[in-house]
Amino acid sequence: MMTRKSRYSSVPKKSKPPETLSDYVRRKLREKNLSFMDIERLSNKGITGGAVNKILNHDMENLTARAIDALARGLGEPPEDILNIIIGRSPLTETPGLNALFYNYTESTEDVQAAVDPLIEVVNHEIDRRRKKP
Amino acid sequence: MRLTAGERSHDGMREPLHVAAVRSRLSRMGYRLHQHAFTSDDFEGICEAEEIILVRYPHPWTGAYFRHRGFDVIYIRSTLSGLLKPFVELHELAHFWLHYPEGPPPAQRAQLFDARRMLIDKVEHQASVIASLMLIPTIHIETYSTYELLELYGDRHIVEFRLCIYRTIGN
Repeated sequence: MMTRKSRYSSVPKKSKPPETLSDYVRRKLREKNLSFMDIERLSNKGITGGAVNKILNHDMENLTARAIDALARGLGEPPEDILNIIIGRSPLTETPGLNALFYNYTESTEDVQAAVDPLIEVVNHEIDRRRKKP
Repeated sequence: MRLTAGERSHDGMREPLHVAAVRSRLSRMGYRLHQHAFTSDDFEGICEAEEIILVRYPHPWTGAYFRHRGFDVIYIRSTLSGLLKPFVELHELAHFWLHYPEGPPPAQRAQLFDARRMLIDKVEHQASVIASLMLIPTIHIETYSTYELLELYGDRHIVEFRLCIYRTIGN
């Protein structure tokens, strides 16, 4: 017996849009419970709280190398992660190992992403903890 | 291969190089490969000594080894039980020692445990050989009958795989 194919079956699932710099900074501020002024302080005034606010409001998207470095220091994240966000590649897919996870399980990118995200959150948390250790 | 040439031992003519390398590394940590039956506790101790981030999570994948932000990460499905649990743990540990993610294209760098590839893929086979050698020591193979090994370990596939290795390399 032939089964009727849904007209939408060949339509690929819409993949999640890449995270913007604003989304990324907002997420990190929330995760680490940091304020704009904390970023200014942690970056040794390399970036001002006002500039961080502008990034969140999409008013400042072309950052200089110094600003990227300062923001990375303020957030306690590697500058390459911020650079990847700016050029439209999520840091997640930049990790070679995770590329492989995607490669091997690409039946539904959205589902894989949803499954991988919490795992990476746990790993990132542990990496941050180890980096903070004296 | 993560282990350096200096760590490779050549005694035992039939012992493959990757087995000798792991045996030498374990020996430095105070473990004797063919005499000690490694458990999950040993695995956790080795992960700590090697500064590997160990994540146990209820994911669909059984196990994986990858590098993330400059750290080595072993992920193990938290719902694993029985002999498969230490087997997958030791299998991923073997990937950490033997298959450092450099050189191959990115798509092949993460080592995911896949039982279907266990005996097909060279890299997977090497990791499975190490895992079974660590799990069922030679001393048990030489002491117990096949029936007793099955009683003791309770997983026919892993015991048969281990016996096959014993017949091939004599350890």
